[in-house]
Amino acid sequence: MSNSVTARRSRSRFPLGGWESSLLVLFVLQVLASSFSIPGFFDSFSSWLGLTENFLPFGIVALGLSVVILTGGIDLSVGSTAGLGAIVMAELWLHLGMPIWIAVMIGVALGALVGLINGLIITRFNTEPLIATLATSFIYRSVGTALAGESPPSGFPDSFNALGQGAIGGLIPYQLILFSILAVLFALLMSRSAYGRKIVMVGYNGDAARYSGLRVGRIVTSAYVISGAMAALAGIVLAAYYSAVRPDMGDILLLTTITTVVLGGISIFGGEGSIGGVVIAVLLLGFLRQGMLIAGFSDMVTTMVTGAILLAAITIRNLLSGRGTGMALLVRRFRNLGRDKLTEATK
Amino acid sequence: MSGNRSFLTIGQATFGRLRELALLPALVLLLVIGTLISPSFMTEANIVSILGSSAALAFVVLGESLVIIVGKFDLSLESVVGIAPAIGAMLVIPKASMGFGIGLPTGIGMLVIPLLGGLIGLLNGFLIVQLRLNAFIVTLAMLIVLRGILVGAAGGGTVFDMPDAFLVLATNTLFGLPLSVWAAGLAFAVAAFVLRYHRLGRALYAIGGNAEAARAAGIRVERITWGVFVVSGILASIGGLVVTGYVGAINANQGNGMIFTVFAAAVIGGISLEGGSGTMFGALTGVLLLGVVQNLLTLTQVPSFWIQAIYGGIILLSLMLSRVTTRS
Repeated sequence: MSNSVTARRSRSRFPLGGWESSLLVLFVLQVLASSFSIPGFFDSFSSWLGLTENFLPFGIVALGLSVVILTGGIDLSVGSTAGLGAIVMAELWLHLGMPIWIAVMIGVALGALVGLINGLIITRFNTEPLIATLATSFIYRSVGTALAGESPPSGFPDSFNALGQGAIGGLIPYQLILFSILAVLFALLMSRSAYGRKIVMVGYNGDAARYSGLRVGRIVTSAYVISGAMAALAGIVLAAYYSAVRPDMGDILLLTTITTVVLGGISIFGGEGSIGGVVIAVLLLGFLRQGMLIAGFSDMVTTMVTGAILLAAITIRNLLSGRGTGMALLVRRFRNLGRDKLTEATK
Repeated sequence: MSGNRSFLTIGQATFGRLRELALLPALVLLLVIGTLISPSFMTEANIVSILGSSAALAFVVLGESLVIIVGKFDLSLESVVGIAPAIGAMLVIPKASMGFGIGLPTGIGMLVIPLLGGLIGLLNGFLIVQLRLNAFIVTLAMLIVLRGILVGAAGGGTVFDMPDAFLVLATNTLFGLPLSVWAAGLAFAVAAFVLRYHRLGRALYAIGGNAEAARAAGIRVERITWGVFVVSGILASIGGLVVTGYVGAINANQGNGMIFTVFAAAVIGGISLEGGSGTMFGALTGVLLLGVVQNLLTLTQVPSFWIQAIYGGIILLSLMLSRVTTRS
């Protein structure tokens, strides 16, 4: 069994490797171009690294969401989970006087718990992940709003705020360190561990995975637990970044994160893609957006560019993958059309 | 083979019937509870207000249901709700009220609204049907792009001072009900009739059930699916016009987040995300159920943020219910 999984992986690795390296080249080109053409993009190495503080929470969510999408599912509740985790953390700190780092841990654990609920609903009731997590996202959002009350907590201790705004030696942001550690962990977990191979196998062919004796339900559920925990962590980092919490603070996360995961080369059907690609996509999209904002483009233009990139990415991926017969068919049809016209004309 | 097929259809029909039968008592029960809880619930004014506030959602749910029945997906409908009436209005009104200042006749502005909705559906259809891209991703990208365009066009502000024609669906009444309610009811009636009795409607179910089999049976799968995207775009743009009528202005965030409620209504109404099953009657019941629940919660002064949780609970409940009905 392990042989068949390895075989599939090595076959699938080739085109994905190509995708990742193209992304990497794009990223390097984009950073170079922005540094030379946008004043303020690269004033100093530390300010350039500091730009990452604006988008790494998206990256943290993207790592967790990648695992879910690799299983062939989707988690629409990441936004509400981020808000809920941050609010619970803040309320525990403010009203129960809990040390903030303990509250942070409880917040992340709560994220894992709501992820577990998502996973159980999806696997036990055999429901569409899209609808199940849509429903739970409604519920988590309401609970978060109820807990936050009229005036949500703000003004956290400086030691906590440093998680979102601070940098070691004024150079490397804590966020970047956190994200790097998580990214390496996730990459190792997905590509080097038995667990990662099970996730990929479940996503590639759930029935085959079940017949070969994998506990599919348990594996899928675990993916949602990971996604929930990462979402809550991202919410807490956002809380440190703003030094405030709001129940709707996670709303911006969802769409951008799905874009990032897909751009990173993870197939929306599951079973294909790597964490490396997602990490590069996080940096590519993040720096692109920051660069455009610094260059004075409006939020609208940057939003549109994100959407356009998503479209371009999926079109190109479709062309490269075996599934992309659609484009080839279309080209052939147009060519035939031209030929028909030609023959008609010559008649 | 053919015996097997007819068995399947019977199974699906009974399943749909069961869902409808399960939903109606739920709706009736809610009405009874409402009457008991609040004296102002069963009044004519309140019923009209429930229907009126459900009309916009009804149009979008109708469009989304058609797309889901053919086995596809359209997230971008919520952006159409915002952008179609906004562009239509901005072509007409002066610069001072956030328009383009072109000053086109009102009629043309009104015509642009469904046209734009249809055009966006056409584009979605091209990408999904012809290029065979994943509908979820394509319409997600479309949603992001359209949202950006709307914010850019409206400059992040509010479009206001529109001619009365833009508001007429919500402000004018016929036999005591707003025009929007009649229009939504008519749209649902037509869709229900076509889906049930017309060849085209049966084709939608066939495509959603098994596109290859439908193709083999001589159904023009590509053309019909593409058409469904166009129709749902148009329906969403009309839904947007209804929203505009009720609000009296167009915010740059009109429609944002609406798609989640749309899916909720469709799923509660028994439209299966796998495609090929679900009825218009069910979808309409889903819309009304959400409308009544929201109204009841407002009347009983439940804090507004719990409404979402209750929606979520209803979705989960109806998902579990559908599991039970399919197993039996």
